[in-house]
Amino acid sequence: MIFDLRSDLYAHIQQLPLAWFDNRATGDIMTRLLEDVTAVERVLIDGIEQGVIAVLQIAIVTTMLFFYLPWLTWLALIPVPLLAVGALAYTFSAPGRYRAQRKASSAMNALLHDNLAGIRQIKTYVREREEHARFNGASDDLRQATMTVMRVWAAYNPAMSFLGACGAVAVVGFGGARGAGMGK
Amino acid sequence: MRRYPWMATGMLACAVLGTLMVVVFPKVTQLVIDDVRRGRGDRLLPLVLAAAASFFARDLLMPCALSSIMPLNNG
Repeated sequence: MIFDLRSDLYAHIQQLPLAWFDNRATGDIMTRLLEDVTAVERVLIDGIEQGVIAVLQIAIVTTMLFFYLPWLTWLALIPVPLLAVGALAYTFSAPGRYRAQRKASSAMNALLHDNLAGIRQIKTYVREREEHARFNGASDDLRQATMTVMRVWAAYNPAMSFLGACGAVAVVGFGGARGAGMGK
Repeated sequence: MRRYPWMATGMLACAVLGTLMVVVFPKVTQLVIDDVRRGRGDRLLPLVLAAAASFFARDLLMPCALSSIMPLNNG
């Protein structure tokens, strides 16, 4: 599937008019062909698999829990609205951050490709230092964009994990209390 | 790793400690079933707090493991 996708994309790029290539760096197009197709592959393989497993788990486990002990199930589900709000907030704010990262990655790849293709000219005109500075600038843009993505993820992921764990703690706490005959 | 030994050590320590926290909740569950349900109701609150604390520590340590390698990118 990925082979076909990449092949179709390449065939499509070959059909584009030359004017289209005038406005785009070669590295930018390479990024689209190499990294973006790989990203689609991850969504198709990991995303679908994990999504299906998650939906099945939620459906089966929730049904069983309600079947056995509805009141405890409601307790376990207390964090769900907060999880939903967090997930929605992350999902709606993520495209901007990831777009900036992809743009920076694309820019760095484009610069790298152009410089490697023109390494003879760089050496001939003794532009190594300047080109190194340009590369560091592009690399720093990518670093900052990646750091933004990582910082938000490092806050979001554990927060969601802790909220989910609170449901398990509530189940053990209230279930234990009921089992011990407390609060009857 | 050679250039940033303390960051690497911190990352590993946080990752190991965070991973170790996963043993707390099963143990708490066992104690609730074995002890609390058999009349030791006074132990329930400390156990629940321990479980919550272990989850909190796990979710705090894991991003710390991540953030400790972030400065590697700062050059």
